Amino acid sequence: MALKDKAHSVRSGFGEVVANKKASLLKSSTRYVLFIGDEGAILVYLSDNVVKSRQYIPDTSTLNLENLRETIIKDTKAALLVVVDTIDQSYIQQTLPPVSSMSIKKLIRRRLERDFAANDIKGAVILGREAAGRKDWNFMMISLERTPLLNTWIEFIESLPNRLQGFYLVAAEAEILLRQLEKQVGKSSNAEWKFFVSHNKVSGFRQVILHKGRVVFTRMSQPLGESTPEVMAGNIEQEMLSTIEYMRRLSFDPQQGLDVYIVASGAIRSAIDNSKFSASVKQMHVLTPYEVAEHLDIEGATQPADQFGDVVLAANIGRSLRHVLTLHTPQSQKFSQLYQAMLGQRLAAGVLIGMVVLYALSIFVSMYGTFLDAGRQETMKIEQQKKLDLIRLAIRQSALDVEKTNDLIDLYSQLEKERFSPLLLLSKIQGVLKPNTVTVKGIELSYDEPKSNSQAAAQLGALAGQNLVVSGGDVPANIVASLTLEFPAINTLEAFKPVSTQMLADLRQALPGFDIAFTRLPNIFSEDEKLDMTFGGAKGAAQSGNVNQSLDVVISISGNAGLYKALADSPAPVMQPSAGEQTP
Amino acid sequence: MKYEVLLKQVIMEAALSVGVLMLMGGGVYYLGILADDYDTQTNVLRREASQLQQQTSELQTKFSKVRANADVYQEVLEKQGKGTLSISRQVARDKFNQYNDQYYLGNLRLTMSGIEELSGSQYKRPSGTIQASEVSVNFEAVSDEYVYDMINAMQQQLSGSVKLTRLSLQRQRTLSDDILRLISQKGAFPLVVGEVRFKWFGMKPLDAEENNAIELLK
Repeated sequence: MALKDKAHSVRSGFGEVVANKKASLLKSSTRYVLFIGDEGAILVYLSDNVVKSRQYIPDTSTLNLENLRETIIKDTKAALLVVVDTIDQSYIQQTLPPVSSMSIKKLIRRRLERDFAANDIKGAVILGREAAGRKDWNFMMISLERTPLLNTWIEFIESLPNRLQGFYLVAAEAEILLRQLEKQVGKSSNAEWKFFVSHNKVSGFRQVILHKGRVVFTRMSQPLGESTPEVMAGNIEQEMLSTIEYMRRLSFDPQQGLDVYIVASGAIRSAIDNSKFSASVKQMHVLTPYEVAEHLDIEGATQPADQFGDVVLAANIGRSLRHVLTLHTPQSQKFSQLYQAMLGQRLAAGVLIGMVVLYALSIFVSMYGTFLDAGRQETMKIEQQKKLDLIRLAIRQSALDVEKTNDLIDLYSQLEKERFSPLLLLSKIQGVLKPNTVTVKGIELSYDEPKSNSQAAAQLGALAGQNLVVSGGDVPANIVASLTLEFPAINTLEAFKPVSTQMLADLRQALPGFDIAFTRLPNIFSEDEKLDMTFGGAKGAAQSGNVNQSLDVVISISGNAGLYKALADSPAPVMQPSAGEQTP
Repeated sequence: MKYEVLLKQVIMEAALSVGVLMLMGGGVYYLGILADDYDTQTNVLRREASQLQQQTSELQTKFSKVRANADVYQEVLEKQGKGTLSISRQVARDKFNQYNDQYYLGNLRLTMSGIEELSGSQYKRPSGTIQASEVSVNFEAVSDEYVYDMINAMQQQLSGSVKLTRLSLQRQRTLSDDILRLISQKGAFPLVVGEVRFKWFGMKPLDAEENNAIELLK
């Protein structure tokens, strides 16, 4: 085939052609296809999906079979496919109740056992379910009668050293062939019915009727009269018309469309009168075997002058990955099961070996990663050792005991951290208190150590009589000062209020962030006034009148260590003589 | 092809597959052991490198700290030499006797708990430990000013460091001419009653590292 043609076939071949190319990768590269008919057989030898040789065997005479054996045993590794296209075939369409898809095969097998002889080679093709109604199963039961002729062939085949892949029927496999042809030949007419006719050398005229892509009916007839193209064409026309007439009884309606594919010689094609079918047929394709081989891209199968479709049909079935129906004799069935088991075993071993190899590879990759990491770690270790040696050398040269010295510095720093004096706070307070107005009668000042969360929770829990969980950070050190103050120069409440308010404001300004509040006021104040003084609200009216007793007021100042530290920014404490006290 | 021939082939292939798989499995198992060993060795190496890095970093930090705090170290050594970092009952007694006269105190009562070594990494190091004692001082004073001066002096003069935890001052009387006269005559009068509580921290005496200090100061 020219390169250009090959490229075209790859582009336009779609699924089947491409699939057949892929198939060669998965299946044995060589195989024999023995096409058996009532008038002899044809052996086709395929290698890489190319037909390498073909041999016609006119009958099953000992001499012919020996010749055939000699040919076949030249390649004992090649599998043998037997395509049977004899007249003794039964096709019976049946329905079964709508059982589950799991049990339908069992029912079909039972029906096959019942309807056919035990010795027959039989099988069934499931055609699908009815679209409406009970959705019954439709299936086609097919059987091959073990005629003496077929038995001779089977005995011969089973005596061969080659593996028997199975028995195939042209009528059943025509489904695949027609799908391929339809794609290659031209536009589909969307006809529901297809009519396939092949003029074969060893079997005569094989007619196959497909409805919605599935085989529903097949007929076989032998050419009658002279073997001139005109007579042959007449035979084909007559047979086809009879078949179409029979199809009408099978609910064929020309409105649903009918496409016809005829495989015959060029001479017969010229003699066929297409007009006879114009009433029923939408598209009519009469192809020579050579054209079919070209369309299906089967190299070496035919010559332009070939008249019969046997070889091209055999080659197409032989190279196909999928088959509609594979039949077996009991012996070949047993053999096939063992062969499938062997394939499964090979697959499992391959998968397992692949997994082991992958696992080994992953270990290698991991080891390589570890090797690189070890290199890095070694380099890092050497570098760190060098650094450490350098530092140690520097320490030796400085004649220092770094550990001891470091400990001393740390401990000394800690010692300094512990230092605390309240003088700064007292100084700030003293700066606010006006000597003429207020005197300090007493001071109570305490420094509460910082607490960890757990300590604080334990303390609070002890107070509340239960276990408490305190979230957040540790509680810082707290400083609380409570000052008892006197206001000797103030005699009236009216005079006290502005002074105390001002003092509170001054203290708050001097000690930013600290909590400052009156905690005790003289009883001469109403509760509202006490609240007013304590929280700075605006409640009630001050009670007027003279105060005949000294005003003892307690003011509380509290803040944490952080606030106290911030006070350090203020000028350093310089203790002045207290306003309320006089030096001797 | 004869069924028996195929069966023989299937059995042979099965035996071969099992053999190959066993050999490969053994090889992979051995490889796995090797990889584990190698991993372990690398982990040891990683740990060693990490420890070395940590050791280097710690030593570097300490050395830098020592060099950067040479003056602090010198100060520590000087204070150690003078004994102004350690605490003792005798020091407390002597100092408060001194303050009693210096700040016109009266009725001074000094209570000091046992000196205990503090626990916790910030207080305890291989080369030294911080000790502490709870001290309570009750007194009478002429003025709060003297009390403040005493607190200031405690901070400055007491060895170690002082953390004042409680201060209580109460004026007992109002100042009058009679009291002023009494103060002039006696020099002391219980005008103010007070209490100071503090936690006294000190370092357990260590060997002076004078050589270190000299080198650092260079």
